[in-house]
Amino acid sequence: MVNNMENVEARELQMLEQYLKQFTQQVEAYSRQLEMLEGRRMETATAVETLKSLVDQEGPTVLLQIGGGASLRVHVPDTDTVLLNIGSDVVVERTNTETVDYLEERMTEMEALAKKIAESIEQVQKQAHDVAKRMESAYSQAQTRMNPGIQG
Amino acid sequence: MFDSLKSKLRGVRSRFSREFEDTFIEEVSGDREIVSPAPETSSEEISADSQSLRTAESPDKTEPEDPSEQKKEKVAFSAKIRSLVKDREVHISEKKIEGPLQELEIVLLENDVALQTVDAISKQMRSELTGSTKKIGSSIDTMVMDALRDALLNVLGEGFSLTTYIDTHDHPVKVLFTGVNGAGKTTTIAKVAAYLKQKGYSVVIGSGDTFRAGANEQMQTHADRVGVKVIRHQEGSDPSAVLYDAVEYAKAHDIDVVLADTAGRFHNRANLMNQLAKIRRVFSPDIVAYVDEAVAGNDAVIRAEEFNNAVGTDVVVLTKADMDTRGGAAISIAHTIGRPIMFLGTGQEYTDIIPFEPKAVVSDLLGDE
Repeated sequence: MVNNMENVEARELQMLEQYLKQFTQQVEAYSRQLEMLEGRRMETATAVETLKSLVDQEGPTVLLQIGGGASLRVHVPDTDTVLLNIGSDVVVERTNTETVDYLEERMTEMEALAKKIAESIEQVQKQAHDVAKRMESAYSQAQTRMNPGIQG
Repeated sequence: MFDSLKSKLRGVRSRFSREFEDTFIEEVSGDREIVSPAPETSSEEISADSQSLRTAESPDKTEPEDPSEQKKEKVAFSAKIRSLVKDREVHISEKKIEGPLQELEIVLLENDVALQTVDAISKQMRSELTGSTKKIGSSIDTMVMDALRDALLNVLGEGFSLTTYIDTHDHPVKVLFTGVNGAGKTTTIAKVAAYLKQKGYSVVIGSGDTFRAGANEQMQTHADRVGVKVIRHQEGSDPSAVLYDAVEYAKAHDIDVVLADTAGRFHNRANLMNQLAKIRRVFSPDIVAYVDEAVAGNDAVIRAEEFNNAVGTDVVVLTKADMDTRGGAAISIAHTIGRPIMFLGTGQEYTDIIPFEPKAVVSDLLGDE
């Protein structure tokens, strides 16, 4: 009988451990996605900032990275014509303002998505927390049974 | 789901409507100019001067005409309008739809719809609307909506009902899930198992991902929670053998469906793709389902195409559709690889999976009541 009880507890603990592992993996996957999204958002924000600041400059100059850590100082003759990849490798010509609007819209979308992912992480973390608590109580119960004398 | 695309499509619809309203107004005012000259006007009066004057006048300027003429014109105009409303139609030229159609193409591209799918939608919209005539009084918006709905349904295909397939084929029906790493295959299998169980089918899962550490346990955990039997071997064992055993178990226990998990792999990994080819030979699946994330957008479409070319695909399952605001993959994938979408994964719970029904998806996209 005692053996059976111990088996049940061991099985439950094993199962809870699996749940916890699975939740941890999920959180990791979501966190990676969130990180990637944040990277893309930052990149977009840089582009927006660049486009906005170019408009006000006289003789605007940018640093063009050519690989290997090397950059060239490049004069931009036309700051109001932007070539923009809108998807499927289709590049369209847009004005500076149109491009900024487009990119800002994209940033809003990314922020909304990041919020959703963060919510999912929170949800999974809560589940993981519940499982961890159950595991803890199962462990302490098992320990109590194994050392009944300590209590008395 | 697909919120960005939905709102953009609303914008395009109103652009089409505005353009066609303008066509209607132009056509009616054009007719008015023809009607305007009163029949009593003598030929002498139509001098070069008066002609140039008429050209310069705005169509609304009626002051110089005497009241009787004005009345006649009003009668003629309203009669014309009546006849336009009753009998005539407005012709929609290719030129008129060019602007809004281009806008639609941009919107679709911006929402990650594949180029060839955009072309197909645009082509059908053009052929459906160009040269068509709109009965004045019928709704312009309805006409545009119908054309857009037809074009979207055309690219989405007929969809695929797994339950119908199971009902009409010998049991056990064997479904093999393939796809890249991290797309959510294992979770999808658990969801599909829960869905089928809820529909009254018996299911067994073959844990064929013997490559990834902990995959067996993950599958077992899911299956326990869903209440489905899992056939599994040790980590590192031959996945074909696991899936063979799963089929044997299903046959012996009169199970309706075998859902087979496989390790995630990229199409360019030759050894893993060869392994998949062996799994296909041994397991001989009825359905090969390719699983990818909807949020991957155009990348998912490209991967699905390459996977299909390498090992073949019968249906597609898109996960994380609830996080996808653009809907590009969902719209393009069926058209690009010529295989229907079977399910959309829409959340964290086992019940968060919906069979992909093109009509319902299009209605949702177009905001039908």
